[in-house]
Amino acid sequence: MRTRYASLSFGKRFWAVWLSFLISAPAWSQGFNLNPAGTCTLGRGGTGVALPCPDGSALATNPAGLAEISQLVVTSGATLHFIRGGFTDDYTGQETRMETRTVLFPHLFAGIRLNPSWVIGLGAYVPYGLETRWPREFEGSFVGYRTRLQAVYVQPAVAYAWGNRLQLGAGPLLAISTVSLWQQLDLSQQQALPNVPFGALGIPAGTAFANVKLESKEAYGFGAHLGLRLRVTDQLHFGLRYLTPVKLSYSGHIRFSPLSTGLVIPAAVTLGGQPIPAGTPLDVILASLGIFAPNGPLADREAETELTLPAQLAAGLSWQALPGITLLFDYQWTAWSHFDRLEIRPQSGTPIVRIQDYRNTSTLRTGLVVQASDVMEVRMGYSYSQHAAPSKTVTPLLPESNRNHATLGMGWKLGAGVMLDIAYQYVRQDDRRGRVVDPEPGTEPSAALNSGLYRLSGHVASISVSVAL
Amino acid sequence: MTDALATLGARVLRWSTLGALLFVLGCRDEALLPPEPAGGALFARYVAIGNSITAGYQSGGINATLQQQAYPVLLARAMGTTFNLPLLRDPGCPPPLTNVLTGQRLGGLPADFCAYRQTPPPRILNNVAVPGAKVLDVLTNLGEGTSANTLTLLLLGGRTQLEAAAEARPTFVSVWIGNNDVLGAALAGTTSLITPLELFQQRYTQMLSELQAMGVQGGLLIGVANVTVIPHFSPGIAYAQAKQAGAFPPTFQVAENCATTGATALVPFSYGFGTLLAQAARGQSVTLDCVNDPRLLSPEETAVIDQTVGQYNSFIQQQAGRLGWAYLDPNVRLAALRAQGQIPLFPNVTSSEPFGPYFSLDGVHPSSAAHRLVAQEAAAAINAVYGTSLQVP
Repeated sequence: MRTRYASLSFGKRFWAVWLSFLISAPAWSQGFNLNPAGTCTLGRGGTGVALPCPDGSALATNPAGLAEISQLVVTSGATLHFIRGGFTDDYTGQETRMETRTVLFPHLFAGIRLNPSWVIGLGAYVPYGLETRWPREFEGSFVGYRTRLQAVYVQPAVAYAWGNRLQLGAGPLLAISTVSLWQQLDLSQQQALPNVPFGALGIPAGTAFANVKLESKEAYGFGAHLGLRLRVTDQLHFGLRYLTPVKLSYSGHIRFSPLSTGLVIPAAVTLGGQPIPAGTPLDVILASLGIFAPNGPLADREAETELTLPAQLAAGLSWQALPGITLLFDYQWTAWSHFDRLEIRPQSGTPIVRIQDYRNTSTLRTGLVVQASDVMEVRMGYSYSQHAAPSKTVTPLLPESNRNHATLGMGWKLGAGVMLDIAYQYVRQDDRRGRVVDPEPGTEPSAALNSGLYRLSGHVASISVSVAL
Repeated sequence: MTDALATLGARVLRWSTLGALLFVLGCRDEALLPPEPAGGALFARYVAIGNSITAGYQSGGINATLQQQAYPVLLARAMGTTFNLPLLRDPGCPPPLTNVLTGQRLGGLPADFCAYRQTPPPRILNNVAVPGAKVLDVLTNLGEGTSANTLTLLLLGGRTQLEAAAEARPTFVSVWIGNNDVLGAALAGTTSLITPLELFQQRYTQMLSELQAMGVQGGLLIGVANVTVIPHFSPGIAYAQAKQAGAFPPTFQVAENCATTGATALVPFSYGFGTLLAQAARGQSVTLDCVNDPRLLSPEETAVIDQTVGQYNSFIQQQAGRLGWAYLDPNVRLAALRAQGQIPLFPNVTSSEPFGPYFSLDGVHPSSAAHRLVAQEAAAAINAVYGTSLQVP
């Protein structure tokens, strides 16, 4: 294996390493929708549809912007996410904090000019991602305590400059995605006897007895990214881009493993005609039922699910207000309404259906770029994203709400054609009420189940180096 | 031009810094959190610890209707706080008695019938009391001396009362426990079953320590009821008079000593009616002996129980004082009701209330009317200590 790896050319090795990193890196976000990729873009509050950064990140913000490349550009960078959050229970007032960890995911853009009109490029970035982690003791762990969705877009593109006024860009894209959901099962909801759940025998609500891991293999989907730029005047630019939806069909497996309830039967009882002496651990009774056996109700099994990563339509304006000072405005519409349900179909057994009923969202971004000196550019921005999840589906899986982002970034010319970009973003999500339980099987979720407050905030830092000729 | 740029840049930086500061320090939306309970923060999370009385057991049975008439439910209502119960399905577990003489129960079901719990169970329980519990049972379900039973499983799963209480993170607790530390002795007619004072104190102290560790801000301790005053026990003289009045069949004899030296011996209803009268009704000749029958409580044994209850209550009152909690002695009202004739000396079996209006059909457990009285007195005791204005109608 080592020999085979060593035999790869440097270029192939480079791509192999970056792609494997992209695919394995857990992407965090409160929502699926991440910031437009690239450190320079991040520094300007995610704006760039009308005037993409010159680092090749136009592949993600507007493929038409590739046409601005002089000869060649290669940008490599990474973005670090650190998110804090928690859930405060209405009744107990107790706050459960999310398990925080720093996650890193890289981006890579390259573009080359073929002739005065044509530029081609290739990018790898993460437009959608999600990871939430809660402690296993969290009351919401029966809905999910670890959710991860990764979607990496690998996108070649071509851009064409129609004179110096109009630029067009387009490219197909390959989405590579995995999804996983870990949750616990509540014994109180399981049947102990016909029509008698364990809860009716007194087993407390929230008694974890099984761990469930749903993990998919890599799923592949195809889509396209289209863009247009119009130089209205030298100072005023307009841009438009459309990212098609990408349908992904996941297959994977569901694994069940027993957990100790820690409960002991306090008095001699008879259950289903079987006498159970006082002091018998509940785990012993559960083990005797064979529920985890190969033919039992909680045997491991294969499963399938589908997910459509939504389309995005974005329009932007850039205006050079003064020499060296440019204002940018973007509006993005994301077609979340297709995400109405998540259905996981096990090989055997009843499908697991989670109603989502997302709604389409709008995101507003503003940015300011100040050319502070010949070698330094200062960037700042603010963006506001609407939440996609309705009140009834704010859960530990994705405790989503309207988000505010404030960013600051800088770019330094280190030498001939070499640029170092850094950016920082503070993310604050509006507090939002949500639930920690699923509705009864066969019933619709409702905001009436909401029993506490989700709070999230975070820090995002990004660094990139680009080489342009 | 460079100066203009610098000025503009400085302005932008200043305003953006201010904006960023407001953004970062902006208020969290506390309005999304639920309002404080009507009774104030002290009663935000109220948990009741206890035995059958607190659980709502009446007439030898328990079901959702009775659970909802228990005094802590009435008290919680006055506090304006959420109070979740481990509600049982109808007709109950076991279904309560509908006829004290025939032993008929609700739904015509046997005494070993159990309809299980209502589902889905509430995530947090506020009434964690379990019928049959002694002080020891609040601390542990297993081991020597514990009284865990089917209802311990059904109401709390495998948890103890303290474990279930901790999940609610109580701000206020009421504790009425200890009756069963003497009741078993009274019913069996032997003082050897009384929990020794030292053990009682040790366990009670441990229970209070663990409650304090949960961050409880206040509480109410209710003293142990004098079980020898309840109408389940009738003096020997009452049986002698009933026999004289022709209340018993010829096969049921009452010894002469019940009217003389054994006149104040206490006869448990479960023995006098449940055992002896039942045998007599089947044609078997039986005699109630008020001096030599070990199932009766002799005056000496009654005195020991009275004294023990007094010692228990002195300790409980002292603990309430130490913690700054409220204390309620139930025996004041019990004695008053007895003096008023509201607690009969002998059951009137032809009445729908054979043990009077304040005791249910088993003669041991308070009726719903008594629960209301307890709730009213508990509210008054809490108001006196905490300056609150709880009102139980």
